Amino acid sequence: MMSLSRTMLLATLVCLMPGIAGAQSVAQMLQDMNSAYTNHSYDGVFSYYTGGELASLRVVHKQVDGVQRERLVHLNGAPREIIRRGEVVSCIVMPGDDLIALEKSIPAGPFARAFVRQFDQIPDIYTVGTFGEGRAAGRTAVRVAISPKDQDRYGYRIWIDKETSLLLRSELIDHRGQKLEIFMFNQLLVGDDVEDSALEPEGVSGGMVSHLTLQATDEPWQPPATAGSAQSMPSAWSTHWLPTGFAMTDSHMRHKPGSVSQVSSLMFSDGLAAFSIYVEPMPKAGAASMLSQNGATVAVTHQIEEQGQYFLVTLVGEIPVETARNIVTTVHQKKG
Amino acid sequence: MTEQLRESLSAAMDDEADAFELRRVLDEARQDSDLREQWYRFALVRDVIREDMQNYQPGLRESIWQALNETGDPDADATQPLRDVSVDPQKNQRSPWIGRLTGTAVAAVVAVLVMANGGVFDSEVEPAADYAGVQPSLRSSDLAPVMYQQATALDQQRQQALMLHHIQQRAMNEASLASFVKVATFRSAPTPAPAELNTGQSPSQQ
Repeated sequence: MMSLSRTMLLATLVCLMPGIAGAQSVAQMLQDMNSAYTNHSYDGVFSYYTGGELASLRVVHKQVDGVQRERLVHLNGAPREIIRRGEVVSCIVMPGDDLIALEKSIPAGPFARAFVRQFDQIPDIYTVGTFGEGRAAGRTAVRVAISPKDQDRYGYRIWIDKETSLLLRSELIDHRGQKLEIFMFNQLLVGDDVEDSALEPEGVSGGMVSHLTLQATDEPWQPPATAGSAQSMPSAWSTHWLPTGFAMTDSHMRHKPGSVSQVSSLMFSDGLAAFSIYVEPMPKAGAASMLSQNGATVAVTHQIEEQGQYFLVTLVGEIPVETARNIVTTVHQKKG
Repeated sequence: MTEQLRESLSAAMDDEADAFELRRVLDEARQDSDLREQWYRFALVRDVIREDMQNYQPGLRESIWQALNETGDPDADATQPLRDVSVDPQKNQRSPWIGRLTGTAVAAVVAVLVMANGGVFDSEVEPAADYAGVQPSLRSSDLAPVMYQQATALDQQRQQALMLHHIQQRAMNEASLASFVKVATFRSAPTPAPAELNTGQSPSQQ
């Protein structure tokens, strides 16, 4: 049957194309895409599909008097806006919104706007290649596929605007080809036509504002005060196993808001995917081992015992469930 | 997998299979993991070539099985159930996509999927409605905890708070548009005691 050979031919072509495109040029395209985020002014509406839900958002970005400004507006459901002016991020939400529960100040690394942060690592753990041209938001785009070489992370298909290098569409795909998240511009205005006024919040009546600050510096990892104190906690945590290419990018110990209990948090990234591990003393009321998933984000809670003390370990990240389980069960206290 | 099956699958992927042939492939695929894998690969290739979005809704295949099981009567004409499920004037009006998708066997199955999933593109379900105290009915894919032991509301809140912390931390670290989008669209599962979200701890915790 003709259809068979046709499909097989296509399969062969797809397998060969990444080799033809060359990893170097694709890496350059991704670099350009990152800088396009900050270098261009744009005002667009995009769809975001995750966890079985579809949302519409408007994003406006412009540099005004040397300050990066951005506005993200949730167009359906309860009003939500995220406004960013330089390093200050404000969330405007309605009373009762969960985002109010955010911590007031979130430590952050150096200011970096990135889709991919460690390009040099990418070819080791992902296969990258271009797949011709496509269209998104009425613009011509170059299609790029980023496929993991193992099953411990997800793949991406992205559409990069040919003219401006802006990301027009991206899909997060599991190893079976199912789309877990889709981000897609429906309409996009790029360039000087973007108005300053589009950056101003709409001022929804009854809305409340919560500020977050992007801090250039952060308090470094602090071991707990003194050994033997009432709140003594193991100084550091580690994992016996990590998927290839993942490295720790961040570690903190913080108090839970409104509580004296301390939570250690570790963040790991392979340059594209990321997950966090939280370790806290087992609450007196106990806690269940559980797993929940929302789109590509998975959360696994697991209980461990170290030197007669029980701890609750929770992994949250955009990685496959099996991988998350495999990692969380190897969390242990560092010796020494 | 037989050569004939492979050809049927290939034909199905090219929208050239008749309803009977498609039905056979679906039945076989239920028992044959090789065939399923082959199907994924063909679908992936086709998807890349065509840029089809509607073919990869999460839960697609499960929905297809379910839909076929619900409508399929083994004694009936094998072509009939597939035609029937694609014709739902009310649904067709709601989604312009479905109107375009009727006609071929594969398209009918995709139409079933869109309906069976409650309409991914149905804007009637507002993600943030639960913040106002209205709890929309949760679909199975929505943050449904799989429990190893009985998880309490507090357990769920704790996990939820950490989930939000993670995506927020990512947003602040990477400052990428995609990560901010996650924050803006974060949706928690309805919890009976939202007041405790701030502490994430049980009242007995000192």
